[in-house]
Amino acid sequence: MTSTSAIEANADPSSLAGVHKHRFRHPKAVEQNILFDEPGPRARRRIALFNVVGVVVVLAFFAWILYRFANPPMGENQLSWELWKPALSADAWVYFYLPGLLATLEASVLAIVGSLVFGVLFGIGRLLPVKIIRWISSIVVEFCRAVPVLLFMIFFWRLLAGLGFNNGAAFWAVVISLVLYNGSVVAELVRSGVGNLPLGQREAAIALGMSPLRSLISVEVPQALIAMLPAMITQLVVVLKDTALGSIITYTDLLQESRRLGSAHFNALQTLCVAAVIYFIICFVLSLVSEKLPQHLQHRTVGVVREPVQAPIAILDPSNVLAQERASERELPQGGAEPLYPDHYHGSNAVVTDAWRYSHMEHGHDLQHPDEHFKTTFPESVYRKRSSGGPSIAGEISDEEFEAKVRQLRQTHGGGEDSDSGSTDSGSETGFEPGSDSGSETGSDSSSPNGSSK
Amino acid sequence: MTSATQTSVSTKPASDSDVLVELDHVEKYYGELHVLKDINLKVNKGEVLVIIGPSGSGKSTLCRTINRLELINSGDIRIDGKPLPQEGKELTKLRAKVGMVFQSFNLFAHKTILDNVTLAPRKVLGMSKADAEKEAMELLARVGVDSQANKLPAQLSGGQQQRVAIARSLAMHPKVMLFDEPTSALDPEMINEVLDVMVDLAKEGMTMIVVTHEMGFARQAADRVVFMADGEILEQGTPTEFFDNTKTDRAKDFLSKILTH
Amino acid sequence: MQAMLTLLSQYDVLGAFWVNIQLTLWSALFSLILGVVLVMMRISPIPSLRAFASGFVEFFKNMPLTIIMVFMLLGAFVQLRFQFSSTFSSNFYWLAITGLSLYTSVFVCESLRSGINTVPLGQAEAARSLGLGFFQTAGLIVLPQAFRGSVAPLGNTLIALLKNSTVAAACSVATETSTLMKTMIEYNASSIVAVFMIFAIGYVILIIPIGLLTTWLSNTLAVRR
Repeated sequence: MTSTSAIEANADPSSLAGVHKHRFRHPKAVEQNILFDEPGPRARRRIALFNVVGVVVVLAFFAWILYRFANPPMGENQLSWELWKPALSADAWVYFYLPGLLATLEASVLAIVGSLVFGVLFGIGRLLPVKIIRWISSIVVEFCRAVPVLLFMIFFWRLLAGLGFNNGAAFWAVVISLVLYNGSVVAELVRSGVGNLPLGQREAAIALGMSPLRSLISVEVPQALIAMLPAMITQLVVVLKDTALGSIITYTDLLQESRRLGSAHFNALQTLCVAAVIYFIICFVLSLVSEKLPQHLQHRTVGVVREPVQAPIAILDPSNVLAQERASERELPQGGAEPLYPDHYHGSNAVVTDAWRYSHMEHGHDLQHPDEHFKTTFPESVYRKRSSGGPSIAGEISDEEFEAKVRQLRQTHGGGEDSDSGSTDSGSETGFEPGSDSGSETGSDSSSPNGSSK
Repeated sequence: MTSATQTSVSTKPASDSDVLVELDHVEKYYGELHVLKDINLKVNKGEVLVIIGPSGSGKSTLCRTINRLELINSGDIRIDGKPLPQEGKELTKLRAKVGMVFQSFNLFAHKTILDNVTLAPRKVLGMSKADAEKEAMELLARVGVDSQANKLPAQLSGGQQQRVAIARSLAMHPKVMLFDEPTSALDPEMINEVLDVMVDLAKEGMTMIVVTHEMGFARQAADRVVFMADGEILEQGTPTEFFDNTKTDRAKDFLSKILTH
Repeated sequence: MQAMLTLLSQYDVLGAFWVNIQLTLWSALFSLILGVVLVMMRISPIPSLRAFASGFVEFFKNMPLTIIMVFMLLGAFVQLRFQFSSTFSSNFYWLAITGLSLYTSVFVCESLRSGINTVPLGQAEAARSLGLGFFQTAGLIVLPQAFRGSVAPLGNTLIALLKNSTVAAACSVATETSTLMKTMIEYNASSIVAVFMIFAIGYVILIIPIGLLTTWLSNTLAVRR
């Protein structure tokens, strides 16, 4: 099946995900092949053997854990029904778990909405061209990210209790702290999302006459938000997990309720297990959603949509989204060219994108041929010196040499050539002769074309 | 001017000892997709074989099965008379003797150009650093990038990177070189510099299996052109036979689409 | 400001921070070891080990740290009578470190995996095509690039670990910062803001340099492609 027919048959963008799905080699397969070659028969036998050993070891490990639970050295049997019964009874659910779950969800939903608003506001604030707003946003965001959430919670709890909010103090303390912290992370996601968009988006918007603020709001931030959606869902999971901190400031969430239940019947371990399972299920479902999102969202944005391997915590592109994206650009099984994600990047982390871009400009980046990033060179001090001497910066040839080269090319190729087409590249030769000293003529770095080899 | 290698070579080997790469009834499935259908191919020493065909015809897969980057479901692959090893030291040794040039260059991004070219000779062949570097500089001069020897791959243009990749494979003195769409990822003005290196390599008598879209190269440098579509070999012949007297309709169709511009 | 200085002289704030730093360093060590083991299992070709590591990682990624800490206290200690030492404080300290290490090891594993995912498959293919064996490919080509790619996520994990060490309060570690902060607020209800600022600025001083160092290091080490 050829690529052209696939594209014609599936021009509807909503089915693009389907087209790409069955041509996409799942990323997990790459992970294994990077270190291990496809196994031959001997290796397959060894893997099967180790697999059996592995299964035995894992099962033995679980059996040991269960055994320890049943016969702890000085405690009582943890697997006994009398300990588990009060943890699983209907009363427990109605009076403890469900109210706790409700409280957790209340705080989470409020915190998520709040942090999205906070995050988008401060993210845009950090991107605006106005210095004062940028500074204030930066200070706020960096501060809220550096202080542990628990400290925020304790502070706001005592503050609100002192101001008279007796009943809702813990709840609002939890919500405000989560908004401040997760909002900062979302702000960083927005900033990194906008930074990961190809430069062309902003350039096109500005060329159309939009102001930087308008370009941010209409063009860049929406695409960044969509691109960062899986990361934001992961952040949602973090919010949910952090509501559990509320139990330390006595907010009656799921964890606190299960502790209370546990202390009533002295079966805290069991009630905690139930609470843990509930948390796990909710968070796991959310993670699955964030895993399935990228294939549905990719055609709505030009930024890279990828599930983050790790929840974003602090700095730009912490989960190496761009670098992983670049790495996974690979051919389809049958050969042929279509990449699944747009190929706009030639850097590794988003963190370095700006510096890389600007250093091009410092060193004579050719604005007429912006795709030829690497025609120019970098400060020699960064890389070690050539032992054979000679000028270290290639690409610098004098005008006379340039003219001479062009003349020679015209002679050998019969004229009519545009003098701009790549002939400043010091490496472009039309042939070679083994053993000829083509590199160090007149001490300049450019090699002269050997027009006589044909 | 055409060299001796341009005269027409029949598709049957002169004698069996001349055959360097042999594929015998090779089949490959990718899930349910029948990617290679009963491939039978023999490549002689010194022969330049060019494989062309539409995307998805399995030509890249075919190229990659020869050094076991892809597995086959059934059939035999023999290199220099010996069957393709499945694993272990024999496979490693064989891969040292079969050079491969990739579409995406795959230069080791964290090492300088010189280190890229000397790495395998030092670690696999056991050459000393000085010898390896000397030879590497000669090879780099041969392909025209010796001035960039201390740069990192990311600082070179695509054409330069691909030439370094060719030098890197040549440093291992391979018996046969595989080229998997070497110029497909290059900007048009850089394609010629890479093709020139390949043409010179062909003139020196290297056995080459090239998967490419460059018809000019096929006409000029190939000893034999193989046309693949939908996983099978539909036609083969010398460049003159193939381009001027195309036999199958599929190949005629393909050529008409490609050669009109 | 004056209030902050008097408070500083009255309470052992630096000692509390030192407890948190110690918790962080020990947990960092153990979680690094466990994280490396996990990532090796996760990318190995043996399905059972892969499944176990993935299950382990998913479990701890979706579990709040507080539950783990409370479990260490109420479950492991009280009900299972699992203890590291005879003194209460040292016992809770090591229980807290166990909980933190288990939790953070999962994020270390994911950071290392993220680093491995930054290496294109073509690098390994090129290495194999040149005839490099398994250990050569891994040691010379894949792992150096993978480590350089993991620096950013690992730095972030360290920062998160430092902040998470405050949750050790749930494990009754009595001398660390969040417990101390609660105590200080109880006795100095009028200077609540000053108390908060002491601890907040303390953490800012600890964390922002680590963040800057991580950014700088990951930029310098990033493999350009």
